[in-house]
Amino acid sequence: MEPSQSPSNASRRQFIKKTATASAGFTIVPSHVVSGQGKVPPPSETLGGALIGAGGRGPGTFKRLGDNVQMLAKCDVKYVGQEDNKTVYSDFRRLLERKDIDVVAIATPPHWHALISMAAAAAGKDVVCEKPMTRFIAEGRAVVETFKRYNRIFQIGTFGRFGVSRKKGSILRHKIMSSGLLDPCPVVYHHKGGLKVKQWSGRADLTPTEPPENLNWDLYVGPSPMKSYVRQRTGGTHRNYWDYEGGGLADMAQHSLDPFQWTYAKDHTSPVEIEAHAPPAHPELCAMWGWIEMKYADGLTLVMESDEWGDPYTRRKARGLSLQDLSQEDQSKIAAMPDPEPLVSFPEAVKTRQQAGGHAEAAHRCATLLHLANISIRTGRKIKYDPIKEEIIGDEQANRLVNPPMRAPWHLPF
Amino acid sequence: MKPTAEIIALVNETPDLDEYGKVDGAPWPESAKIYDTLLNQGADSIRQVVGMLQVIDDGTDYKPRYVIHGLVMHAGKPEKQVQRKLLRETLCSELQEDYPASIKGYLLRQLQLCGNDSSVPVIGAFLLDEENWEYAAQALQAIGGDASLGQFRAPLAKAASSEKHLLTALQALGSFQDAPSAAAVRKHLSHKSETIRLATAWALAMMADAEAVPGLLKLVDNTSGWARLQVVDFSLTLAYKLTVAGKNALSSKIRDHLDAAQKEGEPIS
Repeated sequence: MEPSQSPSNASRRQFIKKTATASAGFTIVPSHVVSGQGKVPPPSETLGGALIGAGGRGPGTFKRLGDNVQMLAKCDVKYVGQEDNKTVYSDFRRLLERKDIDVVAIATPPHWHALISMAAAAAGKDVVCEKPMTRFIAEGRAVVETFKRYNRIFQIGTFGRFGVSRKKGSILRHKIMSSGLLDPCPVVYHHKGGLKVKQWSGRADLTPTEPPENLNWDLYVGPSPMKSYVRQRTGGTHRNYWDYEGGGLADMAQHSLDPFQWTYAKDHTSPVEIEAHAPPAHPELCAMWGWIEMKYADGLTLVMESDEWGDPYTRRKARGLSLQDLSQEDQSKIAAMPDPEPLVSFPEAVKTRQQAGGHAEAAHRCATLLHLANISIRTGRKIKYDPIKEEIIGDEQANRLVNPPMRAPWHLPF
Repeated sequence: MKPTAEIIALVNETPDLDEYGKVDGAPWPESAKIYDTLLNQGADSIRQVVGMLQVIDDGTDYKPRYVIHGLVMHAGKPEKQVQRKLLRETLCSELQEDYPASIKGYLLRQLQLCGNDSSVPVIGAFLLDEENWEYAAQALQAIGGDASLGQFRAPLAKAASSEKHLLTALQALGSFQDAPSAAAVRKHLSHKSETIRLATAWALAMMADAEAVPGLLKLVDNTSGWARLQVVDFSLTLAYKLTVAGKNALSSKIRDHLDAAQKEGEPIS
């Protein structure tokens, strides 16, 4: 495709970069400060909480808000006819209007994660959001900038990084990688299996029907392209559709990629080359793939292998990292480095206004891994990515999957 | 176009769905042979595959749908300019044939991935379509450029009587940050529909429209709840953009107004 001036790509990214640099003068006062006459809430204070997306993942995600949170309301598009707009809502916009709700857990399908997270931040709420953080890459950057704008706390609902960040070996690897002393990096991180590829592949033989009366189908579809209703587009099997998620890869891979990303100090960058082994993708349905190889600029290689389709990955053998990969002089430098600060839990971050572990930038970079892998699967080719501009290089069609337009009235804020 | 036995046989080389109705495609090199054959045979072969599409996507026409999408992704490879030109011209030509709306919708969604400036007039003709206007708008926004933008300027006036078309046009013009449209857009700030008013406010903020400042601040004062949260957010975006444009006094005016208008418990400073 010939280069084009797409409003949903280059110009928006440029604006976000510009506004990000100008954002210091526009920081929003946190709602706790406003409502509490300049004070943060004391540790004993009970916070008002809400759950948006009350399906299978909802209760677990809500629990992550902390022990001092009282659930005041829950919301789901399938509550049409049950809503009292006091404790039960079918439209998240009404729920976010409430000033007594401080923290929100979001467990909708992922095509709503970014928009509801940003709307919650604009309404002064702190957010725990179920993974994956986004449906496409550009949403993640918008979430990062929005949470800066409103000075809110965001935490993604996977916690693998908390475990590895307490392990001696992972801490050492984190220090080596964040020191910048290892270049090129010889590590080949190979994750195999457990990705539910077949399980979250969609069925292509389903007949559309009328949506049930208790479901607001238009609001369910939201920013995604409007399609005819089939039950499998909702209720967990939404994972099977490009319109809402991205198959087993988008659903499961973050469990291993979140700790990987912390261990190898990749919370602020993304791979530069991505190649997938997969058949041509279905236009609507997530389906099979064999493996994905992703390379970072420093040489670190990440391999995800489904073990469910096609030929096995044989290009390179898994290869770890040790202090002996460095010179004696550099080993001394690592030994002198302080350990990283402990990651901050969401409840602690809400109290102290520190950045939470699994914050928006880290979650965005982790989701970017999933999206880049799926773009390579869908295009059937190797892609090159610019992790600073956050766009695919020299492939207009692939780039159109980085920031697909949303259905009005839903849009990214910038 | 009615498919020949040869084309049907070629499309049927696509693997069947498995016992659970799931796709288990052949590796790319094998699938690409089908795509290359069709592209080498030319437009009529592609038209015949389009002719195999059914009105309802219930799996009956799984193979031609899968092949058409595969063609789009295959021809989307950067080096396949000739094949891509053939494909997009053929899909545009089919869009002008007498197919049911659902099939045209499918073709528009494929053009979102492979269309370019030359496809814009054909796609633009659907912006006021009753069923496919959103797919057309999304395709044009993905294609981008002045040609696509031009398609949204013209229908703005025509769409005024239809809220769904107007909403989509306003949002697209906001996405394009199309400052020359600001005057035409601004009049919708007082539209009877809150959804239209919010879309208008966002579009004007995206256009960095200095003349929209009074209108947006008036909306801040006169709305509540969700709408107010949204308009405050759009006003902040406008303030950012005005700062970037060097219009610091106007930007400060917005900030001062938001400060003064802040209500107890609101997350604005």
